[in-house]
Amino acid sequence: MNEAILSIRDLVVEFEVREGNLRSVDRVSLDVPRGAFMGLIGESGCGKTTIVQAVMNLMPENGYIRAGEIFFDGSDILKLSEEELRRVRWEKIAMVFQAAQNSLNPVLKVSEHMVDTVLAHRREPKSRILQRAARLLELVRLDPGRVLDSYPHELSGGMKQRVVIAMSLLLDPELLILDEPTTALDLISQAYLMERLREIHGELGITMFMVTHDVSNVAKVADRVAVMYAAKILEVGSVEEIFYDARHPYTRGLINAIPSIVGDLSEKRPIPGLPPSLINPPPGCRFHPRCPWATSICREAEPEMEEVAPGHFVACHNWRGIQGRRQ
Amino acid sequence: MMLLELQDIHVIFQRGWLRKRRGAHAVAGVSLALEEKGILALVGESGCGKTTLGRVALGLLRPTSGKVLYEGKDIWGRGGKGLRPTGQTVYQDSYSALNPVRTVYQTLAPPLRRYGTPRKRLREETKKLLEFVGIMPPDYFLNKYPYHLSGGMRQRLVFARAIIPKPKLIVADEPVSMIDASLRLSILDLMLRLNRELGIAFLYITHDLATARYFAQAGRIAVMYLGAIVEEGRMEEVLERPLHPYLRALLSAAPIPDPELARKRELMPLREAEPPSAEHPPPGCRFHPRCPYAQEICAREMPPLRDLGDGHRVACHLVEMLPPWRLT
Repeated sequence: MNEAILSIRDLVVEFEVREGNLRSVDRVSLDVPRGAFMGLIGESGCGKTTIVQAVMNLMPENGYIRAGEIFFDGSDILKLSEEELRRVRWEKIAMVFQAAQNSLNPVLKVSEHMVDTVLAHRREPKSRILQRAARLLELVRLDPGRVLDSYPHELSGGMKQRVVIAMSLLLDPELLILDEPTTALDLISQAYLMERLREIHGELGITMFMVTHDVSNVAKVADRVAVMYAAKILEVGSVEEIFYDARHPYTRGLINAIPSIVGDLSEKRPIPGLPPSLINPPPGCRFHPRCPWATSICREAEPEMEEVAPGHFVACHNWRGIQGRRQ
Repeated sequence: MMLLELQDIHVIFQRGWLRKRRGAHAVAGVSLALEEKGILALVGESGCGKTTLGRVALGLLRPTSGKVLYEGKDIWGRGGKGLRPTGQTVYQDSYSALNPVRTVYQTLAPPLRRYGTPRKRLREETKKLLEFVGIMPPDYFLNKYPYHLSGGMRQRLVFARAIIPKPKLIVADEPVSMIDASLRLSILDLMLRLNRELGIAFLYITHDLATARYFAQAGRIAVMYLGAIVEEGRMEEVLERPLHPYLRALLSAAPIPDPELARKRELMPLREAEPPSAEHPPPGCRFHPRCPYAQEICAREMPPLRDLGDGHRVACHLVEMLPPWRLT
């Protein structure tokens, strides 16, 4: 595996809410290898979006990074000044937010969006910017002749989302972070966007980090996958390891809870119980109240990440004992 | 006898209030039937008219033309008042479906009282109901407010309330799309239990083919595109032998939680990836501008829904000429 372009170490992020301190990310460590297409999956409220906000240092007002380091290309971006950080954002790390199709300014043409984006970071002749913009629009299969001259309202949701992705690539970033990129798109546009992302990844060699609740999208595009539950990363591995050889009971339960248009449905089951509160998480392993294999140690001690095969990490006390056993 | 029959339903929304102009043709000639205790999944993308059709099915919206027969009687015909279906709806957003200042008990007790539970037994009946829909332990939840409950629990509460009048039909419009993936099946399982144990028929409206397949395995599916049904039949048969190019495109795009299959499968190439506006649907077959097989007739005439035998109905001029279907 390549060295990590993004390396998160023991990150702790808390939100101050009325009921107390909500620890949304709890001592999370995660490596995104250079050149990878990495997926981070988790259900709503598990803290996956908070990780992204921390990486971009775009925390909401009541959110605080309490501890940890985030290395990008070897330097800790949490220690950068505002100006240094501004250069890293978009030039080195670009980001496409949830429902980003709505982030376009309705009174600016796509071409103006493109030019403004570049000029905010460096001086460059307009014609050169538009040339590059046209190339990137072609990469996301849009007709530059038509789209550059359009206002956002003249484009469909799927087209706008692809415009935003082309914009995010304008400054030739090394890492593209995508947070739920397909929200609010219809099914066919979603599938189309996923195929384009896969192509862009192959053609530009850029590192991609996609955060989503959609297990199936990750199955389609990612080559490496991390699974998050209740502020913790529970398992990391190749996409094959996660989907065909998962070791954590939560990963196995989650994949087994997703219905499909093909295959046997009789083995599909929901995971019993509910995710825990992050204000008062259960002691020990956070999944133990829902886990069919929980033993006394799970209630007492928090499991550490173990490498069960090269590059495949799991945080479960009992991963050896449950291998091959059915839920 | 059929519980519900929709015959050639059209819904046209008017626009403007001084000078009425013809607006969106949201439902364009839909005929569908649902058996007593049956399950029908109505699948389509946003804006296709599926929610409007669900409202018509329950008698909440009067169609511009067409008949709604409930147990054989025309609910908008003469003397039709009072024949409104003993039906209930459950929507996507359980939070806005519940009164935020009423506890679980206060949500369920008034309708229980109204439908004949004696005052003395209200508490006991409420607890029984909670247990039945899987809100356990009931004592713990009785005095909780909706914001104390998780999305899944709230949706269970909405179903508990919906079954109090002993409905014969529930229209469930995207009931699981706001629920976490690990819990979605548990709500679909609850709906299956209501169907099996209480004999409630379900019209399940969704954009998600995978949950439609899970819930309506033994039932039927109708696929809707821009106001019209393009294919309808038994779920098993339709998914095994999908015919309409739109359904094939949907199936080729539907998410599959399996990396190998998901990568092997190819997205069906459409002439246009983006759907046209629902307000100005194209003439003829509404799918023809995107359809890779479209011929001249498709732009001219709207294809009728034809029964190909075995109750598998398709609205496509070119059914006989389509290539055989393979998912991967």
